[in-house]
Amino acid sequence: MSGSSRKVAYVAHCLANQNAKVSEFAKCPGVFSPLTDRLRAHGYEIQQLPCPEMSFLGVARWWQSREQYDTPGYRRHCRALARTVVDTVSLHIEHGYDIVIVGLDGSPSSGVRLTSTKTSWGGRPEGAVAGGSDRIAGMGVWMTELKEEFESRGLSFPRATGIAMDAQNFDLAVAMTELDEFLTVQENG
Amino acid sequence: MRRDDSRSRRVAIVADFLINPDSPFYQSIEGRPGPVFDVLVEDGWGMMKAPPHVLKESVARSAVITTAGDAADYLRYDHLVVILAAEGISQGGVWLNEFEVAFRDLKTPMPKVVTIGLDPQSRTADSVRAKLAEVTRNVTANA
Repeated sequence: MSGSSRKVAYVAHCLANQNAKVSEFAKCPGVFSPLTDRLRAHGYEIQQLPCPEMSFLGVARWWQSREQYDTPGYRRHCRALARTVVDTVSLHIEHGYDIVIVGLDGSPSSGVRLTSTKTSWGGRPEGAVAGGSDRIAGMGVWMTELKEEFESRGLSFPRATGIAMDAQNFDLAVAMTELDEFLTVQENG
Repeated sequence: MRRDDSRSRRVAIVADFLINPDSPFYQSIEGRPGPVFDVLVEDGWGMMKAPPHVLKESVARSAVITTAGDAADYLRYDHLVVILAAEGISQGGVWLNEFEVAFRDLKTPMPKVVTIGLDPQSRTADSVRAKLAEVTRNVTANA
């Protein structure tokens, strides 16, 4: 489908709704517009993925690492959401869209290229205040389940990237340059 | 302890047509909305986009249940939640009937619905803001 004039980006929920972030991680009031501005400039329609952390634990949840989310119950929750997402993506596939996914790099759930790790977290939550989780290469739990849902239907996981806007050393200009390159590659097929 | 950050605590559940009006799914719809997405961004609203109204009902219902659950949690924690529907489209283009059922099942009041007109007079940012202001006095530019 490369080269299609119809393009849609499925973005991590919080990139369009910072109210879904775990406490202290909202970097803007609502929509992360540097991302959506670029997507629209490149001709992408915008679809929004659900936030499995929000629907599983709510807006008042604690910080958690990938290890803490990596449970059979949370994976079942993610897989149920993934079925609805892939059903929706199928509508765009049927209409010949190029599809990309933009996740939240560094997230224990929505990371695409990076996720979080902190094997020592658990129990009394104040431990997180002493320092955040670490970053390791790999997908978050939600992205893993979403990918597996695509593949279980014989569909390729769309090209995907992530924005690491939660990272302490996040460089917006560098991230947007990377995003432009990612979207340009898609355009060139 | 939840600490302050930049979130607005204002969330809009929005019809897909209002965000992606130029999608080929909507070629048969004559009118076009104002700059709803731009207003949401500029005024600091978080967006929860509803599934396209052309989607299969059973799929949309599942997505709506998830969105309504999130919205109910926001309401528990004193966020403002509104639903933005499109005038003249079945169920406002935002699956209003499904949201009513979902909120009823959650024993949560249905958020107020703002209906965005598609006529030429409604296609301005000021018009969109005026419609939002009908349901909240807290909406200000560049919040």
